[in-house]
Amino acid sequence: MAKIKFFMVITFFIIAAVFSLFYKVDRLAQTRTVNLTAIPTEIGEWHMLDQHTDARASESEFLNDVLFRTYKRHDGKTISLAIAYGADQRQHFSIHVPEGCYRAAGFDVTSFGIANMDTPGLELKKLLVKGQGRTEPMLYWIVLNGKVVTNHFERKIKQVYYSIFGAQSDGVLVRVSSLSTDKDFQQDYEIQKAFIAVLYKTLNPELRRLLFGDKIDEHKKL
Amino acid sequence: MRLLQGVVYPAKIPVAYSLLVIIYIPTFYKLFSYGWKVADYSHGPLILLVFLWLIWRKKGVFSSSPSDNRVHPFALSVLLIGLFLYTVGSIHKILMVETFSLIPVLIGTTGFLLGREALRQVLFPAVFLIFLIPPPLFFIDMLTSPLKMIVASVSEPLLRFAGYLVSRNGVILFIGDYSIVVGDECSGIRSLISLMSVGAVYAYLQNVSNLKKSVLFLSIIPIAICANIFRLMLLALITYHFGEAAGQGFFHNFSGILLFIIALISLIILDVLIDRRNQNDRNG
Repeated sequence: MAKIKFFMVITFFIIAAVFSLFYKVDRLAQTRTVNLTAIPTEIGEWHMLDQHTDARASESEFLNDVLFRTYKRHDGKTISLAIAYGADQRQHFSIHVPEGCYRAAGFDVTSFGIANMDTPGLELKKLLVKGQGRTEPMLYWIVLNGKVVTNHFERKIKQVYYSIFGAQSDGVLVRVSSLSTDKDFQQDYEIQKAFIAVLYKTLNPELRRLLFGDKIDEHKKL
Repeated sequence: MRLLQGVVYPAKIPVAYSLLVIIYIPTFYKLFSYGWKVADYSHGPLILLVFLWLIWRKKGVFSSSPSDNRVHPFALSVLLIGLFLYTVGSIHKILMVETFSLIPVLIGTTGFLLGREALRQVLFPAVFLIFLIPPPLFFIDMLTSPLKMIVASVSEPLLRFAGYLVSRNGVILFIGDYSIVVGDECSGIRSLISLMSVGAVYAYLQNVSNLKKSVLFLSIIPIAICANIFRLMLLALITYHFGEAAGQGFFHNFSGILLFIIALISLIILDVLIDRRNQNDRNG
């Protein structure tokens, strides 16, 4: 019996070794190249004031492209658009949500949960950032692997999946914010939503897929 | 023929375990060449050494003949699950799963070849191997920012209580003319994992009840966080009194070791305190 057991173990080891030596699965490692600066400078009634594309040194490790832009309306109202794109979520998990960053920088962040938009169909995270003499209502959403996953729990699950199984996935965070006052910051969310809707219409299909996810097109077909 | 069997048998065990070691050579090659680097898991090799020492203490298990010849379906299935994970992990290049498989493979092989008592003996050393696995990045990311917040927000009132003019903005402490940013590295997640491994071995080696072992092991978590708070405060004070160069230079590197020593001493003190309490209970 002992002999049989011994040979069983030896056989199992050899089978495992042979399998892992000769059976190879190569995953396609392709990174989508994006050019965020191709986003139009005129979006509806908004026109671009300035832009920055340089990520801070610590961020540039895992983010492939960053864009900070300010748009101005004829009446002087400005909106900030920030986009962070990471081509590979296997690296240090790239998308750092604004809540964390602003809190760490000493701002007071109030979350109003998830808001929905119909056209384009989006799940938006609604925040109010206050501090250093500023009141800044903010909306953001996250697209992981072509799907909008703003929902915290859903995103965490995907994050676990990508980091354990080393799956290839890109991720985008799009943030829209504007400076406001304590009194009428609620109105700013509506202005921001209108901006997002026009942005969606203005973008070419490629950028639209990148910022709003693949599923958006399916909505249109219906 | 009977004589021959008696002579040949002891050699089977070394052959089986050598094969086990051989199939894990590629895994360790990967761990050394990138696995531990990705997660900044520099204590990986030390974990391996501790494991080897833990197994060495149990070497009697491997030289003894098995007490029974029955097939344990449990041990067999653990072994098969382990080898399945090993194969899936290495085919799909999932180093985490591949490394993890060592635990069931070791437990399964020992239980299957040498019996239940041997399995019990290698259980702790095998489970200890969990610390070999480079932690998934989401795990580090998830814990880093709350830990940073805790460390910064506890240090602030403590320093103020000590009479310093301190203010805090998120994870930035302002003291005198200096601002000290609690960086990702200072969150203590890495020291937390390595201290947990040390705490596990320390608790295991104590000749006490399992309950006390668990208490000792789990207490390393608050101890590590406190040690980190202490370290940040010391760093802030050194920067305040001796300037930025002093705070950023030698001490910054040295404080990591200091943290380790403080945490370990705290663990031993706690251990002694629990003992004393138990004695008092018995006497009173």
